[in-house]
Amino acid sequence: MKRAIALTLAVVLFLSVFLWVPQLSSARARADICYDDWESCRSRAFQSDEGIVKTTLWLTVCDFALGKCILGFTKV
Amino acid sequence: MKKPGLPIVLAIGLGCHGHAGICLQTSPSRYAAREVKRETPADARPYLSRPVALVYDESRLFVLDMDDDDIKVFSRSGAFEYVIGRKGQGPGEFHLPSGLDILGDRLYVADSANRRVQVVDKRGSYLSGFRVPFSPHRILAFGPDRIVVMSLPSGRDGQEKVLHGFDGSGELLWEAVDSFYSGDSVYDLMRNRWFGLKASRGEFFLLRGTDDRIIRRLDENGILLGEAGVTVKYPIQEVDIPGREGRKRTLRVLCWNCASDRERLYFLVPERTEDGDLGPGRAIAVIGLAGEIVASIDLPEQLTRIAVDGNTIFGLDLDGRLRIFRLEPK
Repeated sequence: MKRAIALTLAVVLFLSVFLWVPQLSSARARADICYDDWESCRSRAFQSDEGIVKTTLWLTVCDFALGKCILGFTKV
Repeated sequence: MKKPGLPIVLAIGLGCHGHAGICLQTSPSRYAAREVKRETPADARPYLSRPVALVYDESRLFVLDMDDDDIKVFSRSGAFEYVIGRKGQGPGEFHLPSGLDILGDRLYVADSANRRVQVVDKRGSYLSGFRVPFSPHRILAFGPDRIVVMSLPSGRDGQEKVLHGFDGSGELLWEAVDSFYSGDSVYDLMRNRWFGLKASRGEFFLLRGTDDRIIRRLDENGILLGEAGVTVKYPIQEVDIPGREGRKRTLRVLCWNCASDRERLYFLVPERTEDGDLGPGRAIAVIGLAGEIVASIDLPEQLTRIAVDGNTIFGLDLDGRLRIFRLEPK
């Protein structure tokens, strides 16, 4: 019985490592892409000559897009 | 009988000695910027998509185009000559470059989206480069091993350093100046509108574009050498921006863009737009080292970026066109 439990736990651990970790790593890579795109969006907005208020609105759009990207709806 | 001629000659001589541009006056003098006739016909000029920085040497102007990911090179009289770089991640390629400086025969580029600094020669040949752990925004080169990079703070990890000193191989030598951080990413970024402008002797001026009147002078090692406050006579303008939770927050904008030349600072004064926003203006205030207004310059139209060389002003207008002006006393 103990051996069966130990074997089951080992299998679960094995599957966790090989199934969950790549997913987590993929999620992190995706979040990094989201943040990279967010920084590009902010950089473009910041260098615009549209006026201070319009620039802040543009920056707010960048933040919304980041939120959507991280939640997995779409890419920024 | 008094001889008034001598003191006047002395005063003018002291103020203008060794100075090709604006002379020292006891009260601010006014100048008009007259456009220089360009060599190239209008339809032959290359289209600048989003020019964000311009630097010059004794024979050419280099305009950094953020959207085209390149540097467009002009003669000092405005004739287009050639393009340096293209979009990409390889050597000599750029992605959303946002800062440019020139030192000797080298151009230093803050290659923002590639998170790196690149050094190319004036024909565009790649010389060197290094990665940086942030989004580089502006760059000042003081020597092959003295490069100051200004970052655009993300606020992801709270307060960050704004100034980063590197050697030519990309080794971090020092960091200085904390960014403004309140947790409101938009407001914080607007409060972090820093400008770095070269001074003499390997030093530079550091200005915060909003909510500050302090001109800081630092050396190439990031050491603060001195500070001066911009006179209260200088017209800082306020604008309300939407903040978090529907709260309005007020920004006090010092300058839209600025430049330095011969130990003077040139502030492009922001202008109120028809819809109540604050945008690029058509006046430049010339600020002395003590923060006093030395002169004012009237421009024929709004400029978004400026570079000054003596009595010549190189500017970019709202349509992204390169403009060249000469100063004339009013």
